[in-house]
Amino acid sequence: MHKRFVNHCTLDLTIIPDGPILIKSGREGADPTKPQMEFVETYHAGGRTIYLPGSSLKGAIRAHAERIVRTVGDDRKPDDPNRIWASNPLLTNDYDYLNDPDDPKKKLPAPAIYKESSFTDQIFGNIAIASRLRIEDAYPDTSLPLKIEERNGVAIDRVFGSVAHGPFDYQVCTDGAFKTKIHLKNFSLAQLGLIALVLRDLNAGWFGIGFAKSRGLGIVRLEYNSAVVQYPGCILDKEAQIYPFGSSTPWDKVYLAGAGEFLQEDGANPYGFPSNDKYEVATVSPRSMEYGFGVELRWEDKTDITELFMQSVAAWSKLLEEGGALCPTFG
Amino acid sequence: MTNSSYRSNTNNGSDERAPAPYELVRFPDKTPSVCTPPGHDKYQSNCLHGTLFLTLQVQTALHVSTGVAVMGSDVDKNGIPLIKTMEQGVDKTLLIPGSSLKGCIRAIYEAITNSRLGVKSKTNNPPDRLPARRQNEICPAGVVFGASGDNWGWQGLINIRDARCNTNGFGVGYMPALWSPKPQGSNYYDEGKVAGRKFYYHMVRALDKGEKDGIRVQQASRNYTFSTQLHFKNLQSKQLGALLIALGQDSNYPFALKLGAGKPIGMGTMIVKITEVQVMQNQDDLCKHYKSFSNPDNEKLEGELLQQFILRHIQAAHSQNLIEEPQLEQLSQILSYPTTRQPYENY
Repeated sequence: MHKRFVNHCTLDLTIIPDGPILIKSGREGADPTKPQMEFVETYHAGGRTIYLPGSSLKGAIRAHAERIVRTVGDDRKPDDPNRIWASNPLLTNDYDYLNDPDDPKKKLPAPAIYKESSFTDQIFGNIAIASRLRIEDAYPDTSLPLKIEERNGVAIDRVFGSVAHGPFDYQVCTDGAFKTKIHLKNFSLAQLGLIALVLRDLNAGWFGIGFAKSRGLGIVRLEYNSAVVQYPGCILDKEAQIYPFGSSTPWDKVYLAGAGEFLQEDGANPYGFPSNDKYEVATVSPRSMEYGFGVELRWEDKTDITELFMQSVAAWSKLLEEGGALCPTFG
Repeated sequence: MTNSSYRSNTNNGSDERAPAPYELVRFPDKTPSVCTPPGHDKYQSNCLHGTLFLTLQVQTALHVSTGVAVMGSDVDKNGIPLIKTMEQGVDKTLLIPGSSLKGCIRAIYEAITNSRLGVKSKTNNPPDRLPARRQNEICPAGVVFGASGDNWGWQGLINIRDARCNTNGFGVGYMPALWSPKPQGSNYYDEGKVAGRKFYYHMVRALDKGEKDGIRVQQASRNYTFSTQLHFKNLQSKQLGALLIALGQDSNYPFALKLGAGKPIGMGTMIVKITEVQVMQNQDDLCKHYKSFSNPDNEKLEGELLQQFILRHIQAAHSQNLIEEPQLEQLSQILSYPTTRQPYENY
């Protein structure tokens, strides 16, 4: 569902190297003073700098999200449409189920494609639907200096103990901070919950980013600066009550609401977003978005952001249990 | 090959012959085993996933070189002209790169399982010991530590982080110029093919003759400790057991690791202690981990539970025929520590 815009979550976070990291540029530059394997660089904030490309971050996040879904769900399309599963997005020839069974050359209508797609494809996109998650390139936080070092490696001959290959040198970043934002639009709470679990695992070192992960590179810590959830189709009155646009009945409380909560009229939810997808927010006061159009909730306190994640993961867990995906999968 | 630890070796090209401070662990007679990698796509419910928390206790001076020599003032040691450096973290404490540790542990894992060579040797390799060229040739060590060939690669199931020194600062030692290995030496061969993998003996101390016969090196001195983490996923019980044996945790075959520069003169001996394990070992653990945002506490194993955990998986490695017992026996003798072996003064 990309034609309407009902909710949007922006996670503002800082990625901090916890050891060396290297996102390789893939080409060897002409500068002889630089190592053979260089960090990707770009122009930012008036100068040339290393950065973490959004594509690299999204790939790592997607891969781990798929790993989680396959672990607690299915790794292929199940017969029961309620069970969650993850596809292999690299096998583009395996997406035949997105075509009309009566006319295989024709794609299904958009809502049917969404319903037929795997849980991870519904978030990250596939050959037929766009991603609802967007992650910005992570640029250095200019208030913290980056530490960029060169490391050398050799492959040791197992028989003679001498150098078999190398030395090869590579550039690593060992200190500093990179700021980025993850955007999730028209999301269900379970989708936000899965992203929260992925980020939790990234912070805990269950997976890394970039080059030479098996040799200890790529481990990072995360710090959350803010989480903002926006409802563009709502307005806020002077008593801080939230009204759906065009309605005279305000919400009874302040909620974190998944997309299904905005699609309750007859025929308004052809994509099948979960209903009753909300939880009461007591710690955050709603405020108007810029230009007085729309409502936003802003979490800045780390404890409150953790609460947001815990509640989202609770929605994810509920989806697993109701879909029969949790645990019974292992048989 | 001879079993004598101190035998003639003409590697210095002079009349004076130093005893060889190493031994080869012979390849098993059978062809290398073939394994199927489990994949990285999911956490398998019948496998183990988690983190080993390791403490490395330095027994003899350790120097893992960066390959760079700098002026002493560059490492805050004024008055020293030139010193060969180790990696240091942002807090200036010494580091052992994860790649160095991984190579050391892999070499042992290769030797005690029926595996291929992780790195192709310079001359006359037995053809079946060469690194896998195709994905259907991956050996036991390749599955756990990774393998690659033309247009394919397997990432392996473990990763090892840099080990950070728990002691501030560093020691300064002297290391003599050592002779490079001589691949033409007959000791390495059996019927014209290389016969096994080389491991250096531990010694009671590292030779340090001071400035008159050596260059300064930045080193972790005796009794320094390092901490690191070894993360693993989709390991079978026997594979984790073999990894624990490779870390010297089998009480029947205890040994220390030998790492870094100066192995012939007794440097680089370290004992591994496992202080804690965080592990998901069944479907319930996986469910708990991915059902709530806060990590469940029951994943941590320490003390007696940790020892039982280690013992159980080591037994699995032995009983499920992953371990080549003769090779483990020989390796544990070479790498046994403590030792009475003295470094050879004229090296």
